[in-house]
Amino acid sequence: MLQPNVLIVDDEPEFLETVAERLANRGFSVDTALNGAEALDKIASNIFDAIVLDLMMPEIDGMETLKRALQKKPDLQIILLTGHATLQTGIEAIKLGALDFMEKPADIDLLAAKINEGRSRRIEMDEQVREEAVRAALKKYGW
Amino acid sequence: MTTQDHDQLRRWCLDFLAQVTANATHEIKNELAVMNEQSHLLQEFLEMAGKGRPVDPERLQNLVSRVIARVGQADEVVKRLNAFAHSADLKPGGLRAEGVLPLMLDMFARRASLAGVTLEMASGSVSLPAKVDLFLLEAAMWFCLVEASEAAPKGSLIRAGLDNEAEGLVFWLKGDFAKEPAAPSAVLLEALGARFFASRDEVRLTM
Repeated sequence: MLQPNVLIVDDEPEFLETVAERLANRGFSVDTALNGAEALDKIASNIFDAIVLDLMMPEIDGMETLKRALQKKPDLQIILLTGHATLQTGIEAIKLGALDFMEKPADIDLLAAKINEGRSRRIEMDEQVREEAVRAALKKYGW
Repeated sequence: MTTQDHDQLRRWCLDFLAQVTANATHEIKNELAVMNEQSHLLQEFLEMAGKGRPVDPERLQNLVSRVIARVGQADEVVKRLNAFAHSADLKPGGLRAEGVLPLMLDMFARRASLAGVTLEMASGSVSLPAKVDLFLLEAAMWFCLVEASEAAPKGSLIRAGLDNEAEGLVFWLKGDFAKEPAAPSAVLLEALGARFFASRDEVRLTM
């Protein structure tokens, strides 16, 4: 079975590097991005089981990155991370389509579990899309 | 000043205090988040060593050094917040206030970075005239920085200075602003005894 593939996005290089290593030690295939623009480029050209996205980043912040990423790929599973979780921000993130919203410092095993949840949801959504395509093809040929 | 003006001034001061402390706590939280990850990684390496897996001592040393460096950075944020907290203790009148500008710019640096602008300090020593309230000056400087960083295009540089000029104490910001930065609250300016001027390339607060 392929390793779950996750993209971590944070403007703090040491945080990014350390979280990436800890997730890699837990069997994840990890890619990183230092800002929203880099994240959007990587999302456009790769398939990720989940994205872990910092909320407060310069230029394009986490919420804006979330919106733009989901516009291009609505099945993306995105977990927002922030140093200051408020109910309002959490609700806004979920309404925009985030999988979940976690406060830093996040427990690495809880984060890993959430990434795996994202992977399961993505696989399920992909299977639904495939089933619908098969049904459409069968209908087209009168089967 | 009317009672309404006093109420407004109080709300502005509270807003300033809230923004400054929120900014500092966010910075501290970021340092703690990095330290948390690094400490846990260190713990994981030690657990691996306990199970007989080889661990690179240099790697461990590097991690420890990075945690120590982060403690230092967090301490700097706390020191700045403490210096700010003691602004109100300082006696007015002819006080050398060369620390005010670097303190405010350091405290604002994270907000500037999030806005995509860089701050550069341009002035040297300055003394505070007796009539200038240090806390109100800091509040006015902060709000000028907020407006200027919002008016400046991303990637631009804002130079800042605090000088004793013929007309009085002047706090200035120079940059290439997309629009004229807005003034701080009128009641704040009145309480500070300051005149405000803004153009597309300069902001001046004269006391």
